[in-house]
Amino acid sequence: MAVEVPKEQKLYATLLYWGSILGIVMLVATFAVYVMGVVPAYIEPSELPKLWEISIYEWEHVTGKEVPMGWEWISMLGYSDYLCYIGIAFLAALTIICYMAIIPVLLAKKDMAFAAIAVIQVLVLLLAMSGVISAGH
Amino acid sequence: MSAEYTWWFWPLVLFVLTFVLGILAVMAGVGGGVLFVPIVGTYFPFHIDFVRGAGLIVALTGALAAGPGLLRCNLANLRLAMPCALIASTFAIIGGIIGLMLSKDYAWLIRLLLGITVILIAIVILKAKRAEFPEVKEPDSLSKALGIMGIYYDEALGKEVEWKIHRTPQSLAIFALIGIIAGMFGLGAGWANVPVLNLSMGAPLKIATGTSKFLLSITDTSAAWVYINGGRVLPLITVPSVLGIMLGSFVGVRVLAKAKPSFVKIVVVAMLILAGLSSIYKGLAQGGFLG
Repeated sequence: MAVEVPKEQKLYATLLYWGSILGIVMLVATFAVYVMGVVPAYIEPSELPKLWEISIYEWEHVTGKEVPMGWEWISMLGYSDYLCYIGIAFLAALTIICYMAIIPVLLAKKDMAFAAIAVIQVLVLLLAMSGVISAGH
Repeated sequence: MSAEYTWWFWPLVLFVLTFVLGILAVMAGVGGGVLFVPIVGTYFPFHIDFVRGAGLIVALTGALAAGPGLLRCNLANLRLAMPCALIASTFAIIGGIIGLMLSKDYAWLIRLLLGITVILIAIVILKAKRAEFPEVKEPDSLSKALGIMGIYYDEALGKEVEWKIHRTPQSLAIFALIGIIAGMFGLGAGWANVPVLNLSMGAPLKIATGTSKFLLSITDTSAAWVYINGGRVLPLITVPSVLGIMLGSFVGVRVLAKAKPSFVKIVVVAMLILAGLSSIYKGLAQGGFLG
């Protein structure tokens, strides 16, 4: 028995499906590069056991290296540990992509209330993504 | 403690543990995230910030992976999820910021509050009643205005089930609290979403369960960015956990048919209570309250 699924819900599901697969593949591939030492890491895995016990605020003191915050990881993609952030960031951005895709569908249906909810949701997620309101800088 | 072992020792143990947690979570009907943070935060040598960051990505990826199937068969309803997600995700940002700000000088307080929260979650999991088809006499004016209602095909009944909801404004207020807890402790919030959607709003149990899982993907997205931007997501902790929970979930679904879920539920509740008590003890010790 088939119950009709709204168009925007079908679109959201399709994007989420392919996006999740792509994100997981990126996560696994970049992590393999990292742990196999194919590309040098900014902080080598062998250094982490003395770092993961302590707060991020103490890292700079222990390593003598500046710890990237916010979107600074983009400039560190040459290092394998920050390369892993591609998959993590993609998965964390997938919901925003899905919401942006359904806004035109909701507008075409003249479903203004839900189009407005979707727009506000995108703005909230972009605000979180931007790092403007993050703690710990 | 962790410097005694080679660097891959703890990530490997983490992978094995999360694999087991993934199996148990499916069998007990809870999300992996709710087990991950209290157990890994208590028994592994990682700073609580990195555990919470990993916990959010674990809960997020689990929800992203489950979302498409639930949406396609209408067991997760986008119209029901969107208003709840907007409130929960907004407050999850606030929760994430509070959590990270507190952990700078009051990491002991985070552990203490996490322990108390986890014990309360265990009680909710154990005691919360479920109603398969709650009675909704009249939908409230907000849900009517937004057109939040639906229809799904129930395979067990062999017929289509229509549903509507009530008490929307009050329930949305509860989602604000759920968002704060999810962001503050890096916990998935399925344990709270399902009772609110089912018992408070009156959504059928299957719709509440499916929509709750999908909702997590939105709530945890906003909180995850607070942790990513704050440098609290370590790939060496996060990726083995995500893969372990995912593989465990696949196995759990297959084992589910042969197991006794009620027994597993008791095991999971016992694990949560034990981890919660350990977290309270660690918090009190770190805070200097135990001499």
